[in-house]
Amino acid sequence: MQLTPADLELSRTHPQSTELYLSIYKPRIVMSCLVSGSVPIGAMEITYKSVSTGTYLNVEEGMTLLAGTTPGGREQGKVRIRSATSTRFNVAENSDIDWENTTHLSVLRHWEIWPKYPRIFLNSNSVDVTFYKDYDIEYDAQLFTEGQNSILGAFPCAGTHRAGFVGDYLYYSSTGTVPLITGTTQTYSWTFEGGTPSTSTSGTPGNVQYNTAGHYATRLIVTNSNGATDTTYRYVSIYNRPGNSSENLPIQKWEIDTVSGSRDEGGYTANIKITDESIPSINDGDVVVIWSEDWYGNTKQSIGGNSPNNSKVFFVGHVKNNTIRYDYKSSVVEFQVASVTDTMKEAEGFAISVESKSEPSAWTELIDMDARRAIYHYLKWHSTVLSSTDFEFVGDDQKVQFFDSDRESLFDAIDNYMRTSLLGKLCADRQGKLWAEVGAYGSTNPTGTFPPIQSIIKRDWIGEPDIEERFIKPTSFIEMGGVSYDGSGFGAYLSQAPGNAPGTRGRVDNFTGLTVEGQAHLNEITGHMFANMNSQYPSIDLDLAGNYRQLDIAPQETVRMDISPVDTNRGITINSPYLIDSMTWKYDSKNKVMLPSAGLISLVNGRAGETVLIPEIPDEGGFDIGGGFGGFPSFPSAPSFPSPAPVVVEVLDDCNSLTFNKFPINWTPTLLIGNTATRIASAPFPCTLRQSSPTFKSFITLNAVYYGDASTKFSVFAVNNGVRVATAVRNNLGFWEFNLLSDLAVTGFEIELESGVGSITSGYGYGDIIETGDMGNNTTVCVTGNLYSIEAYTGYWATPWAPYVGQKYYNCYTHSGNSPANGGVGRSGIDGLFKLVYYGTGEETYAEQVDYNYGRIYYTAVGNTIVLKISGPPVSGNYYGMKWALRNAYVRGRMIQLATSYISNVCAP
Amino acid sequence: MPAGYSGSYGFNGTKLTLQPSKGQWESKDILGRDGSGRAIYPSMGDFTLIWGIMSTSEFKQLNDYFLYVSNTGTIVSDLPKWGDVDYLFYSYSGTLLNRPSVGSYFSEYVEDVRLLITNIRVS
Repeated sequence: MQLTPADLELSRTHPQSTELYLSIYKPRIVMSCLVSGSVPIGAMEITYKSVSTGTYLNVEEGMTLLAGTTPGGREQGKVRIRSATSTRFNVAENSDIDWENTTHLSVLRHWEIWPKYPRIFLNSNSVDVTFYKDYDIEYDAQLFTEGQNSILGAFPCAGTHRAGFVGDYLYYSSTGTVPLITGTTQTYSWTFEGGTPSTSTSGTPGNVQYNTAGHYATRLIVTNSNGATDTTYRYVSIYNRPGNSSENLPIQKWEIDTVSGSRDEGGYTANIKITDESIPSINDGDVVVIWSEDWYGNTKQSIGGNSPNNSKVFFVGHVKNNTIRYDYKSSVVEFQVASVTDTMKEAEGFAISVESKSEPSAWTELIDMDARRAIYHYLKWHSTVLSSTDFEFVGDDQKVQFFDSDRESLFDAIDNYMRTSLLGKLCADRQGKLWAEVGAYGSTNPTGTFPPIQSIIKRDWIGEPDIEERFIKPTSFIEMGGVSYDGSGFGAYLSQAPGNAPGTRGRVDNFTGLTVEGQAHLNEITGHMFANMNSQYPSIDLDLAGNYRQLDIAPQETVRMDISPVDTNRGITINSPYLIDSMTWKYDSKNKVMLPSAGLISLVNGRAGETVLIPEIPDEGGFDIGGGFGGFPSFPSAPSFPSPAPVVVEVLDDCNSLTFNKFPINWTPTLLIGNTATRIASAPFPCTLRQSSPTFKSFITLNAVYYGDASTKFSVFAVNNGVRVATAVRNNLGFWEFNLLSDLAVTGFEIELESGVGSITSGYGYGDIIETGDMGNNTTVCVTGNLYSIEAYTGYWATPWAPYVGQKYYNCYTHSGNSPANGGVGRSGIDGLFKLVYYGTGEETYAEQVDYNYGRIYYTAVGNTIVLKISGPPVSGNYYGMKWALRNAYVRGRMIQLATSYISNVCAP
Repeated sequence: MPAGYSGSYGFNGTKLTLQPSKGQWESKDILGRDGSGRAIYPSMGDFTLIWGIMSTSEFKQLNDYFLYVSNTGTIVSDLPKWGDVDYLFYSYSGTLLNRPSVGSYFSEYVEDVRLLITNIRVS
């Protein structure tokens, strides 16, 4: 949280001390009774008798019903109460409690976190189904004026669970309660059990005083102007101060080593050991509050925490299931405490699916859905999370057409959605508030959206920061895909970074299924993601010199790391924002000192990624097999391929000895024929793919036969010793291009049939460049080998391939005759810039000028030497001094073979 | 009593009948040094009361008192004020008594009895 300058300075004041107090909320039993009669396993109506404590009028929806063999016992199970009458409890669906006549029932004033199960009922016609929520709640389109999925309320926020001493004032506000339907208004109804005042209708009641020790529950009902209501409870434990009384004291003898949390884990965990002579009763799921009194110098004040004016509350969590360990010999009990997210991880929810509609008429439809509304729907109707926890959604929300959750934990349902759709996550802060946040990298302006809340300078850390430095960028290329939805239609987008050409090294990554505004938005976040995956100083770990309770793992916030060269032995300079990714507080009970360690990750803005065009799917999926086909055709048998003849590369004496990276020439491809059962064709094809330029890319062309439907999809990869090091992208011409920032040595290729059914029969590719140098008038390139045909590309070559006055290439004209003797017979260029001719003894099939960029000579002879001769441009005029190149030449055969393997060198002009 | 001198050792407002023969503030290890090299000290101090000799019955009283207060929480300790220009006693609240240590027996007496007081906020 952002502190005032005065508080920030106070947080840096020394010496500091912190006195921690431990509270375990002990909910009151509001009704005790016995099971009456025979109640079968799985029953949802539990009749009772012999009430010994309270009445059913004390029972509220959502309270916890314990079943045990003794009063207050819970060994037979527990279940959520839905309602109570004078004769029975209506409870949630259950199947694990063996209700026995005279089983003891105890109703706890405790609203635990449960999943709520939907029910799908097959109607009498055996065709239609009816959806219910929480067993029997029907969708009522006329509930008010509209149905439940139209009259959305708000995430009710009442702050953290609290603990304190008799006489303390505890602060309440509804900060964070934001309506889901814009324009609606809210009214508030607070009930402060044990507090003064005891009620309030204000959004910010402020301070409430507690004068009697005990465990209480505060209730907040938020009523929206559209009729929606949302109710939430917070627990309050009040103790006598040690020294003032010997009763109702907080736990006196206890230890805590660390409280550590990370965004990746979604919250905090801590280990607690109680060494009191009288071990208190502790149960799985109990709410634990650790609060503090803090001194900064001589100033007694607490700092930090996201719950307004509740800075004393240091940590709120729940006792983790199955972690309580009693050691009766030493009178010690140990257990783990974790954030509410951990409890959510253990609560298994049901799969649901909702679709955005402007006028919902069923449980499966939600009004004009966006991420926030989808999560609200899930948490309100499929869990009780909002009954005891603040929740806030942060970030640019997007409309979504569908929301689906698998049968997974309550945590995973939200967290997976946030991760996959918005690059975000679900995380609990130290005080137990849930934050569903769009990831910083998913913001269109990460550093602007997350300005630093403070600088971290050398007086703030102990020792020396541990700075991770990357000397090699770990990610070479990412592709991200997303979908936009405007309420009526959707658009699909792809983006790539750093652009067409991947980086030199590193893995290729992809992210799909994002929810975006559109192509520009996707390009932005693709660029940011790529930049942050490759930032030079990706993380910094440091021990802090004070308790720095203003730092937390949620919501996402940055600090500005200010490290000058003299601050570290490595002489590193850093002055940039870093996200708080993890925090670990260590408590020194002897010195009453709490010193945290922080794990920070860098946040940078990247250059926007590039749009990847998604090919349009032709009608009928693009596969017209015709002929009234009623079934799938059998695959044609694979043709036999001759092994390529060995190639002899001759070095001509009169040629310069330029060295080139060459593709090898011998490759017998493994055919990719069939369906996904034989999905990968490997190609042992060691070569060096050349660095891409704006106008050049190594590529492979597949002679592919596609069968099947529109789902048939190939992918092409370059591999190095079995590891895929580059991914080819299919361009509009059907070539599989490699976008490389620098030369990339590979050992072969893989062609993968990712989906559908298809066949690759052959392929070819190219990748090298022969630079001829300043040509003056004539440069001859010698090409020898066992040739089938050759294509020659010519063009202007500058260093690097920078365009020259807007022109990248000049016309290339191919020879139209067969005249090895003169070497100059051929059509000259329009401007007489150069000619492309060949020498050889074979037959030229044909020659053509394909376009302004290149020409082709198809030469059909085998076992000949071809010499391509380029007549360079005039030595005057605009082209004087330019370099010209036989840019690419490749031999086209039945196999993938590259002409440059035949091109041994460049002859002197 | 010289100028600037006042007070006696005591707990919870009661003066110790047998005043210690010596008392001293314990030195504290630093928690670390910040990036500028400055030492970071804890704000909590420790003080040791030392009796050169006391009877076994007096030691029992001392130990019983420790057992009594150890279960009820903190006590107020009257100690020479830390860092003051004068030798003045000050009531430090929220302090904790550690179990007294004892040296060798000498006739019916015990020597070198020490009582460590911790959790003393000195700033």
